[in-house]
Amino acid sequence: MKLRRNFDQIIINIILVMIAIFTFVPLLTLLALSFKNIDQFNNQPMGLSFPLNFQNYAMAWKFMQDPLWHNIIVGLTAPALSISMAAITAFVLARFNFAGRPFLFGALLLSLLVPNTILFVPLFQLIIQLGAQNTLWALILPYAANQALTIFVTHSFYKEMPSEMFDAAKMDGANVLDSFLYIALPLSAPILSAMAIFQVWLIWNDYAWPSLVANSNEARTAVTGLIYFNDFTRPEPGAGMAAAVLAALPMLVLFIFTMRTFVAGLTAGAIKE
Amino acid sequence: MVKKCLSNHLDFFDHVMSTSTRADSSPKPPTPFTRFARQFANNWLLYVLLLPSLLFSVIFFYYPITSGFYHSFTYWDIKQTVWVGLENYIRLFDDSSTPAAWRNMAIILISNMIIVCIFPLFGAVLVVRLRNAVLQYWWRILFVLPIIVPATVTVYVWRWFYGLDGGLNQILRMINLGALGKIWLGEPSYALGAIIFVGFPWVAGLNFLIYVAALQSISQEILDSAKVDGADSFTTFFFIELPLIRNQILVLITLTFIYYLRSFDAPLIMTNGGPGTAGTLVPGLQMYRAVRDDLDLGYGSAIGMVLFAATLIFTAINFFISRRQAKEESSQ
Repeated sequence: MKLRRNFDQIIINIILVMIAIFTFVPLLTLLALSFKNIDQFNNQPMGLSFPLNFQNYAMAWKFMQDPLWHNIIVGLTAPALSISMAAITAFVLARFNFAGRPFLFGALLLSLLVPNTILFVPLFQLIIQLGAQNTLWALILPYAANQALTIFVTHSFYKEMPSEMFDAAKMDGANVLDSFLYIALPLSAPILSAMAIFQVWLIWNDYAWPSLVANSNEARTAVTGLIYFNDFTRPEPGAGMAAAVLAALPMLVLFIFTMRTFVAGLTAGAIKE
Repeated sequence: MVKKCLSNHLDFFDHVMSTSTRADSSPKPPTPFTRFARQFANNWLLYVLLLPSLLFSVIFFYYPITSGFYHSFTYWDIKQTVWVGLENYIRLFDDSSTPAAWRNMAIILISNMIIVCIFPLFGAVLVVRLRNAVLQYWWRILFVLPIIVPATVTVYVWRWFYGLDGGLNQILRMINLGALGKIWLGEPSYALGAIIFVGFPWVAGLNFLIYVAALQSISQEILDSAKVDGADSFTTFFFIELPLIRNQILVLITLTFIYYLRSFDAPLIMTNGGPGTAGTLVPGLQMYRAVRDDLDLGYGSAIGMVLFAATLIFTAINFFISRRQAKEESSQ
């Protein structure tokens, strides 16, 4: 009996190993290809070939450093703006009673029900009207406007906080901003950082929008830069692969440092989006 | 201070209003307008705090959505707007690539909805079946890890894989089937399948994680009692676990549907809608190309509106189905 049960477990592990091989072979191939010179690339693309060619990374870095830098700027400012506006909005809507509250709440959350395909064209025109095309503003402003999900999630969090805390603070003379900054904000830090990471991830993954409004040397993002580098500057094939590795690397770093929050943020975001 | 002034002022205003409308000056309920105005005066800070979100919402959501709807009835480029009525919609339905685009999207949608029900669930069930907690933890991490790779990078690698000297043809040559090799994304009969196949075996990622969480939330007592009754792994899965995670499966199907309705990154990067005029074209890409290549914003808006209507219809159907199911469950 025991033998049979262990046998089950071994079979499961073997199947999992097979799935893992199929899952990771493309990524490992990408990594291997990024170290190949043009001969190695064409003659033996599968597996590692020696000597490793680090020249690819030098070439890729030369092109990719600006896009990576742009993406980091956008990835820091847009979520920071979006989260801080959304958090204070959610707090006010959750903890205070005032005329027009249900209406404003509904108005701010309506965008959750509308797929953003519909916004694609008119937003493009708006960005041109604002003169923001091919600048980082073309990315920061629309991404910062993406607040409905954060408002929705933090609103229910703030709503469930015990009101004794806020009453006590009010007795001590705290106004709206004080009770937000010193009570609500610290307690909601985990949920806010999860939402922030979800937004960073969305921004880092977005291709269609930045390739339309920010396809210039001044504003290109990492993944847009990767495709542009390959399709328009015709680099050595290995350098293209190196650029792909560079485009993915910052997310790996973020994941390693914030694993738990990262997973929580993506799960919450994906389900509610 | 400001608040107090305003509030006094409004009291006065209220007073004037009431005395002017009626002769007797006995206190009576304030009019809705003054009630609102007084509330506003007392809570002005709250409205100020809401202002940034509201401004962003108006400028980047309500304005574009209205403008998109209006302009779908116009010829619209950056310089001029000319009212053309339904012409954009008529053109869309007359365009020979439109049926192909919708057919392609339907194929992509249905394939992915089937994929999301099978592959990540299979992986999740296997991982949950592991008895060694440490091993289980590491398998979970391993299959979550690929979410950090941007979709564009994945698509980029697979584009190379399908190329003339790409991985797939190299593998075929290695096993002496080199004659079967082709430029996979250039063949009308293979390109769409190749795009759907990206990401095989489709186990790793968020879907897997959601399934694992769902399976682990099933109470151990139920599973134990099933075991006592002699249920094996398959029976447990089909008769206990599957019915209990039905809601999560439905959620993931809906999410997959919504995602692939609007996502066109893979066709854009791999084929730009080709081979031919519409080999892998999808409506989202049609919209993107109307804007990027022709600067035909009116036409692009019209496509966006049709996609929006499709989503709306699906959401409504989905809503009614789930409501009927909820009713059936409550009546049982």
